[in-house]
Amino acid sequence: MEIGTKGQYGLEALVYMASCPENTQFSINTIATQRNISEKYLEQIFSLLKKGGIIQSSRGKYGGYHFLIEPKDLTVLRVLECLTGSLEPVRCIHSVQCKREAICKSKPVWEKMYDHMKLVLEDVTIQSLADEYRRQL
Amino acid sequence: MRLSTKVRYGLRSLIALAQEKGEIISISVIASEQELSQNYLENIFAEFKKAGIIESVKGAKGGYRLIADPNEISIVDIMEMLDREIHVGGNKKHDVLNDIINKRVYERLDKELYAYLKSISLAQIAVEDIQNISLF
Repeated sequence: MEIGTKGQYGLEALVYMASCPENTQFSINTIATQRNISEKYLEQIFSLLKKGGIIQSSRGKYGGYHFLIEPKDLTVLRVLECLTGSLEPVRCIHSVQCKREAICKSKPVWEKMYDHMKLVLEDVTIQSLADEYRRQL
Repeated sequence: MRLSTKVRYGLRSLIALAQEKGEIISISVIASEQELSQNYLENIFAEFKKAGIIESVKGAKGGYRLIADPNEISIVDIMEMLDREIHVGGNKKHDVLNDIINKRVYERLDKELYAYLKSISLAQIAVEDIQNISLF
């Protein structure tokens, strides 16, 4: 039961971006170097974050990546859901229909576990993590 | 992030045993009612037996029965008997930034899930209707 490295590295990159001074221009290359993450892997991650409407890239002199959702409104839940597909602990919550659903006694347990996870992850924003990081620098 | 098959099937088989209220039930009956493989169940039951919560009864009417109080068995206990722990992960790189994320996100999630899964007993799941139990 683990959140994959895509989610972990993506979260790390976004918190790093949010901790930098405003108007910093971010390229995948600079973030990868700063955070010691493989550039190829970060490219895949950023492409998912773009598709998920979390970040945006622009070209030109002031081009680069920036947030489409303000870090103070961007929750860890949103980021991890975007990067891991789904955080559901069992596939029968959303992904697949199970024929035993009506008689299943364990699904409600996993469903509540999932609700609980969402509550915890919704409570943490990228900004709050970045602020804490800046305070410790 | 998915729960292992072992934990899912382990819980299902224990629910079946708990519903028998201490009576003996054969592994083949559980396997067919729960639509689980008998071989797989045997492996899981060996671990529950080792943990001392079920016992096997030999003979024509043999099978397994729950010998522990289902009120005293939590989901965390079941996971631990099956050698699975609650660990959603975390970044292995240790620096200031990752330590903050690990603490605020992954470790917190582990702690909250542990507390939640520790608070639910097998009896609640098997006998009561968990939908009616307020957990938050």
